[in-house]
Amino acid sequence: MWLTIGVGVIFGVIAYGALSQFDHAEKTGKEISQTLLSDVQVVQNLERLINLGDQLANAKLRDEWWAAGVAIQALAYHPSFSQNPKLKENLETSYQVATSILRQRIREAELLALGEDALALELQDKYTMVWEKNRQRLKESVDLLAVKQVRDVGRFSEAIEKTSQAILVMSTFGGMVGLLVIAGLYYAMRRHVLRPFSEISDILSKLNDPKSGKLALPPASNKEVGEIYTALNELQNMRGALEKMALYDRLSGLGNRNLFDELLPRWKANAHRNNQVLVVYFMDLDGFKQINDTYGHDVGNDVLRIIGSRFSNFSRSNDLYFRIGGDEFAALMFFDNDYQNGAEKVCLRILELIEQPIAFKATHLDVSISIGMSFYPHDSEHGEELVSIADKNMYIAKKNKLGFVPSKKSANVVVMDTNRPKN
Amino acid sequence: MKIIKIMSLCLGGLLCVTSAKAEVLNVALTSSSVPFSYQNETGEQVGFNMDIAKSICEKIKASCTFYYLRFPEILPLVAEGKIDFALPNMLKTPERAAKAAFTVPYWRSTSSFVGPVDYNFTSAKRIFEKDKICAIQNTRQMNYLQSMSGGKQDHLISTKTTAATIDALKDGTCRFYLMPTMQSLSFLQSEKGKGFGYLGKPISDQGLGGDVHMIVRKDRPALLKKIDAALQEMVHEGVHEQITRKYFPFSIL
Repeated sequence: MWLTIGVGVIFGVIAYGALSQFDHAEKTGKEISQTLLSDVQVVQNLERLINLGDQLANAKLRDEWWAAGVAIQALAYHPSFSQNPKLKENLETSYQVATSILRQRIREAELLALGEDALALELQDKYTMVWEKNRQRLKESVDLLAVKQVRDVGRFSEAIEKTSQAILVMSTFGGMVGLLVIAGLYYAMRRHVLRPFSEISDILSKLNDPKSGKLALPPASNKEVGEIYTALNELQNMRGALEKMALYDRLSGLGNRNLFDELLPRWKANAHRNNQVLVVYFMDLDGFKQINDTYGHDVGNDVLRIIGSRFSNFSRSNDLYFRIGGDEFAALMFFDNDYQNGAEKVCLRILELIEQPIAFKATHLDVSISIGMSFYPHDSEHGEELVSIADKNMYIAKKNKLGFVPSKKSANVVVMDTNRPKN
Repeated sequence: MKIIKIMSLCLGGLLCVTSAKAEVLNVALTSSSVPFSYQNETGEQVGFNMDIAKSICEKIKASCTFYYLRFPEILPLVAEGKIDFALPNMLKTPERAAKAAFTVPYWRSTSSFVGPVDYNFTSAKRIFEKDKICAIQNTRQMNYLQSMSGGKQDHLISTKTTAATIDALKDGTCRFYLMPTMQSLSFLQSEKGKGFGYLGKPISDQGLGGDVHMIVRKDRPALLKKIDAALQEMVHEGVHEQITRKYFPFSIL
């Protein structure tokens, strides 16, 4: 808010300064140009009046001196002279002088017509002297005005120059402040609006990536962005919950068939990339139906929950167990060299793990499991085929009460489990 | 840049269309007032007001039709809207301003009595005692004389034009007349004006002198604004001075 007020005040001061200068320039310009124009006309008319007076006093032809005389009479009282009282007085005198000379020149013409040349000459000397005196007064007035006019033009030019400079300085300063304000606004917008939105955009695009876990959100730069981050957090939590519902079995806590189907291709690719063997385990509980029928579904569910818990505890960091059907489980594991031995050892440990009795009331329940395996890439490079092979091997193991059957390519390794309960 | 060029072309096209449709204006001038508006030897209407009017029409890009009327006819026609603007050498009065809009002044005037050059002029009142005096109908000069005449109304002769007034002086219908000073100068300087002269000093008070305006229809404020702007431009560009020098021996602005 202070930034806005500050910018407003700066712009206000600049605008006021510039407008004042413009206003001052306009007013001064109009006034001075009007005065100058008026002065030019007065000076010009005075000089013309002097010329007309010369013509009135000196012209030989009647038409010439007469035209000049009446022109002076018309001009001397022209309103353009009325602004200057001293000048007005001079011009009223000039009017009287011109009117008097006109009469004398008429008389002079009459005397000349009568042959009274000496009297005419005397008259001529008289009005010429009168005119010269008047001319001198007019000349002094016009000279003073001309000097004033030149001085005014000089001052006007100086004023124009100063005002132009002031306007230039104000405009340049205003332009610079404008640029700084724009830069400041751009920086503030980038920092407070664009950057948070860019981060939000990145977070949203990451949210679309199923591989990404829960994302850590940066500290919010302002209240609005904080609210967006809170909403994003809630969205992430909801997404996690939905994901869990879609990909995990609620009862056993293990991944479900969906997760298995989604992970199998990716784990195959990982195995290929790391030059490892991926072992697909398919497992089916033996005698689970009997437990359900004897003790009810609640007990059956408890058994599944316990099995799931055992798998979870047993699981190595890179192993993953799934409940893919009613009493069917699966697992995916990577092995390096000697994968067959490794895989079989796992089978043995699973058998051992599952066959541990489950305490139930005063007695205990016995559960066992049949395991089938397939090896990527040795058995197949295709996921469906790997699943099919593991499934078939599991049925072979179940049918023959073998516990587990290695893949067909390692069929020479057979582990017999004679203690398994009969299914 | 391309957009700016296209916009300029469009704007240029628009202006061309606008200028092609020039506004048509009816303009009135007095018919016979040397050197303001008069017919020269070839029958062409010329004069200071004529040149000013033509320049204004050119500046405001209007197609003007000129009408040459007698002074008393002009104001009513402008008030009726039949004439758009006129140059009757009119001084501003409240009564006239109620009928027409007045432009910025374009020259300044005084009024002068004209009569026999050897007449011993003392005052207007003295003239009425035994002589007749002319003035143009509906003018400030006529109003002034009416107020000065006392009971001698029959000594006051009303005329319609400058030329008619001068003719009345010449043929003895009246011994004197009162008119704007500048409207008599050409007459007095001519052969026709021999024996006549200005009597007494020019009068600028009592409404007989001051700023002279053009008049514009009151319902055309935009036209008034355009004419004012054109007049100011003419003064600043020296066009006014150029026209003045053509008709007068000094500046009348």
